[in-house]
Formats: sequence, structure tokens, C-alpha cells
Amino acid sequence: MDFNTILDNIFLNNFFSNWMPVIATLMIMSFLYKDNPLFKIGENVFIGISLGYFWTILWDISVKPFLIMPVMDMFVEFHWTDLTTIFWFLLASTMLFRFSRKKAWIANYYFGFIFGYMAGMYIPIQIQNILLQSTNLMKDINQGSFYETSKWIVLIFGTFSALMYFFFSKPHKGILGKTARVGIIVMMIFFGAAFGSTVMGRVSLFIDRAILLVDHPFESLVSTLGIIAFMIIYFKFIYKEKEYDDESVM
Amino acid sequence: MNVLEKLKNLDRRIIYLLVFLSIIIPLIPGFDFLKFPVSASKETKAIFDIIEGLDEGDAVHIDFAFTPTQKAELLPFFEAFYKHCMLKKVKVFIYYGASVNGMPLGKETVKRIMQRPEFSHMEEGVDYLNMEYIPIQPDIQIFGMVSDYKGTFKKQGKIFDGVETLDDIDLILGISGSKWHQPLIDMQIRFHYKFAMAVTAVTGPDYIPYFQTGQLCGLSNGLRGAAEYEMLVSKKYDVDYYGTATKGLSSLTFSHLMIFGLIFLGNIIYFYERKKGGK
Amino acid sequence: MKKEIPILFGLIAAILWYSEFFFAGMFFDNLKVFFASGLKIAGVVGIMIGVYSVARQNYFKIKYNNERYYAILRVSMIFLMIFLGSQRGMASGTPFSSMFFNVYIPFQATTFALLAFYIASAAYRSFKAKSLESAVLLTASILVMMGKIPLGEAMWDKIPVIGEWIMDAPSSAGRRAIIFGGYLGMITMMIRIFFGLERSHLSD
Repeated sequence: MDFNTILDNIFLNNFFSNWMPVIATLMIMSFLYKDNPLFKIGENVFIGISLGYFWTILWDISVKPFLIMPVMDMFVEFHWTDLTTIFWFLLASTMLFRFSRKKAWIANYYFGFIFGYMAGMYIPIQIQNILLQSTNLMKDINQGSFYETSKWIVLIFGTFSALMYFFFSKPHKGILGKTARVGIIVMMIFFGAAFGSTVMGRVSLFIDRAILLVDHPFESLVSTLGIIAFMIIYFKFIYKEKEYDDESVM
Repeated sequence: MNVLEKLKNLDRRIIYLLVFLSIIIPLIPGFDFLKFPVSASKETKAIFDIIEGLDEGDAVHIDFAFTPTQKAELLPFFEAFYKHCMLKKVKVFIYYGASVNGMPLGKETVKRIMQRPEFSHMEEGVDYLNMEYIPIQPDIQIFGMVSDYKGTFKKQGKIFDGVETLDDIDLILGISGSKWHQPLIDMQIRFHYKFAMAVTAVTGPDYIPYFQTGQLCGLSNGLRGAAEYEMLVSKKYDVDYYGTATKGLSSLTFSHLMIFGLIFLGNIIYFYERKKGGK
Repeated sequence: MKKEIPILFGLIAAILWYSEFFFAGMFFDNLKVFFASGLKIAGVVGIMIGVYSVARQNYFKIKYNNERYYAILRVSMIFLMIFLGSQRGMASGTPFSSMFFNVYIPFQATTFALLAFYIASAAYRSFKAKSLESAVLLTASILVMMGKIPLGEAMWDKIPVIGEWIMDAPSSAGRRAIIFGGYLGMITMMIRIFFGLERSHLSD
């Protein structure tokens, strides 16, 4: 049996693909009780795998085709368009100077260029956008039904008053103050809607995990019991209350 | 009152446990009676109608820009949408925009869907194409796609017959849970492509104005949007494409009821204390 | 030299892209290709910088930090993934992709799924009708949530309509105000960068 077969046998079997996701899920969930070594191990394994994954795959899909291959081709046959590759590589390499204290200004060449292009590109586009957002409000107030009409009235006056709230050049008194007050209410409704949606979003994230646990009932039950047993032993016999400053954050 | 005092200082772990139970119990087999039907919102229906209006051989570009973090909300939508496109025999280009770590997820999902008997005759490069990832921002990419669609991605295949520039793409669908697609929304005014989005529920309200101005021609919002799309496709084509989104809806209901209960309880305690303090 | 030339660089790029909006032609097509191919290379250099930064940080963690064993675990996982990727490839059905699907995805998805519990706890503790504003916030959020869940529709078929009205009218109005502010701020910022007045993205 050669080495590759051994590797395949370790990582490609039903045991691994059934147990690992459940154990990983429960390891992270144990944090809900209290910070513990299982969570720490899980966290660090996650960060390690994540970085290793990114580096390996980016080498394959990004570094190789967009840097190594053009440079190799350049040595085979030089074409004048390759000058752009050299120019951009040199320009982007100035970013590396951000790590140095004294020569950090060299990176300005890259950032100046990039921000410049973004400024030039986005000024017309943003002006178009702001015009569209304004002209979209200028519609016939009679939208057919009461439902649609009420929507448009609220939309127009709501946007206006919320904008007045952001208008700081004059003190918020009198009519301006009252409009700004309506503006706050409108903003609060937006934040309320955002909060409602956030609850839905966050809960859906866990529903996915719950479906995984329900789909593997035996594995979940055994792993949960195992993790509970570990937590009891750890917090009863090993764990000592630590000073707060010991918790260094990565 | 002693009970309220105790409830006020309720251990957070009890709340966690309540939420956990409210999510997991409706999923356990035998609790199917907790399911309720859903109707489609106009935003989701808009995406469905666009695909329904396409003919065989029209092209759809999917910008798959979410990471496994948001998989719960967005992957069911991607699955339902992709199946719908395949049923309509529309060419699908899947590009992995911001998502190096979403790429295997998308590829595996596509592979799994293509193994279904109804799609077994379709092949990569003719009916659909994975366009991998390019380390480039979407704003500059749009300019590339407008002038030369194929050249932007450096890909070959029979699928590109009749697809030269962005004008030949009938719908761009952005699936993301971040601000990644903002440049596509902004530039829609300039290049007039059709752009729809599937977003996470968290960012959902942010995109409503763009739907109203017509910069977005469709918007699917989180798990609920995915469930609606699954329902629309399944009903129209009389197939069983109900997936994890529909499965999760009952959990969504009960966890929300639990959260309503918690908010209600929190407010009762607050008002009781204020009354007591006022006296 | 430290700031003037970068600003000049920026001005040239800005003028080129600004005029691109008004003119079309060969030159501007080439400009787009120039930027598209160039930014890919810049992206690759960015990746290399990221690798360097992580490597440096972990080196110091292992050398000096008291949580050394976790750092060693982390680094060994990085090497494991690189090893698996180079040894057996990265296509689906390899140990590399098995690690991705069975270990990486559950860890990442669960880490963010914990937010479901935190938001429930936060709602219980601090989501209270203390003033008119917070009462409005509370009501709006509950109506939106009721409109979203299937039970709301089953109870009364007008509940989703109310939810939709809130999302389409007042909530959208609030968001529009933010959009206006955002775009105006961005335009101002871009004009300042254009003329070299804004220098916060450049270091000394």
C-alpha cells in the first residue's frame, strides 16, 4: 500500500465525513457554555485550515496563471505588451514597503494610483446614481390604489424628513426640528426592519447547522454526550479562574 | 416580586437552550405538522418571471460571491435558481466573484445537481460553465465584460457561441452577503444590463430602494426568498425541488415565536420595574 | 517626492478614467485592458503580502507568546493543507477537498451560527420600549418579522402585506436618506482625491 492510498484512506471514508462535521459543529457550540479548550482547539484548527486552504488554492488559481505564467512566457518570447506586466508588478510591489517604518512612503505610489483611478471612475457613476435616486421619487402621486399611493406619500415625505435630520447647517428648531423628529422616526423604522431581518438571517444560519445535526442523529447524540462529559471533567477538576488579562486575542 | 427578579437575571445559557430547542424540535421527523405554506413576494417572483421569459439558448451569468458562512441562506437559492435555469435550457456561466472558499461549494453543488437523471444529458462547456476566480474588483471587470465577455474570463467552449459582450447576457444574478455587488448596482445605470440579486436577510432592507428604482430587476431575501423560489419552481414544473430552505421554515417560525416571547417578557419586566420605581 | 508624485500619478489615472466616461475608442479600450490585466497582478502581490504578514505574526506568536501550543497547532494545520493539496491535488474527491467540506465548512458556518443565540439574548435583555423611538423600532421589527415567517401568513393573510408596506415605504425612505448621504459623501471624497486635497490614504 503506497503513501497516497494511506492518505486517501484517512480522509476519504464515511466515518470521517459523517463524524467530523458533527464534532466540529459541537466543538464550536461548546463556547456557548463557556470558553474551553475544545473551542480553542477548534478555533485554531479552523484558522489553520482556512489559511492553508487559501494559500494552496490561490497558488493554483491566481498566482500561477496571472503571475508565474506571464513571466515564464516573457522569457520565451518578449512582446512589448509585457511591459505592462512589469510596470504593474513593480507598482504593486511598492505595497511591500508598508511593512517598513522609514520607507513606508514608497507604497504611496501604488495607493495614489489606485485611489486616483477609483476617483475618476466613480465621480460620474455616483452622480448618475444620485440623480436616479432623486428622479425616481418624482412620480405621479396617484398610483392607482390607496395602498400604492400611501406608499409613495410616505416614501417621499419620509426621505425628505430623514434627509432633514442629516442637515446640520441650521439648528434643529421650529419646522426643521419637527421634520427632523419625523426623520428620526423614519430612520428608526428602517433600523427596526433591519433588526427584524437580522434576526431572521442569524437564525437561518443556525437552522443549517441544526439540519446537519438532525440528519446525523446517532453521531450528534454520541458527540454531545462526549463533549458534555469533557466539559464536566474540565470545569470540575482542571479549570481554575484566571486573570482576565491572560486571555490574549489573536 | 421574586419571580420577575429571577427572570431579570436569567442565565444566558437558559436563553440559548430555549432558542436551540425552538430551532431543532420542528426539524425532528414527526413534527411535520408544524409546517405552513408560503406565498411568493413580488421581489422573488420578479426573478422567477425573468427566467420564465427566456428562451432556450439565452445566457445567464451567476456571480457566486458568498462564503460558506452564508451558505445556510444563499446556497438553497442558488440550487433552486440553477435547477430552474437548467429546466429552461438556459446557458449558465458561474463565476466565483469574491469567493475563493465558496468555489468548491458551488462546484460540488453543480456537480450534485447535474447527476440528477433529468439533467444527465447536459455537459459542461455546452450548457453550463464554471468560470473560477479572478483576483479583480467587479468594477473593472464590468468594463471588461462590456467589451469582451469571453476574453475577461479567458475561457473557451461551445457555450460562448453567440455570447460576445455583456449585451448578450440576459440576466446577471449576484448572490452575496456583503457589499461586493455595489459596483454592479451602480454601473447598471450606465450599461443597462439586467441585474438581480439574492442577498442575506441581514442586508435585505438595504437593497429595497434599488429594486424600486429598477437597478435591480429582482431580489431574493435570505432563507425565505430561497423557500419561495423552491416553491415557485416546484409548482410550475410539477417536480419536487423543495430543499433545505423549505425544510427550515418551520424552525424559522418557532424560533421567531421564541424570540417574540423573550422580547415580550423583557418588556414586561422593564415596565413592572419602572412602575415599581415610580411609586 | 513622497507625496507629490503619487498625487500626480493619481491625477493622471483619474483624468484618464474620468474622460473614459465621455469618449470612446481604441485608446480607452486599451486602457481598460491595461487596468484589468494589471489589477490581477496587483491582486497576486496582495496575496503574497498577506502570506508574509500571517507568517510573520505566527512566528512571533510561537516564539514569544504564552499560547504557543495553539499557534503550533494552527501552523501545523496550514502545513497539513499545503501538503495535502500538493500531494493529492485539489479537485473534488481528494483529501484536500474532504478536509474543506468536512472540517472547514462546519467550523466556519458554526462560528457564525452562534450569532443566532447572541441576538436572542440581546433581544431579551435590551430590546425594550424605553422611549417613542425605541417603541417604533420594536413595533416595526416585530411587524417585519411577523410578515416574514410563514405563521404570520397562516394567521391572517394581510400580515405579509403590512410587512411589505413597512419594507417598501418608511424603511425604504430611511435607507434612501442613507444612500443620498453615502453618495454625496463619496462624490466629495472622490473630488478631493481627484484634486489632491485628500491625502489620508497616503502615508508620510
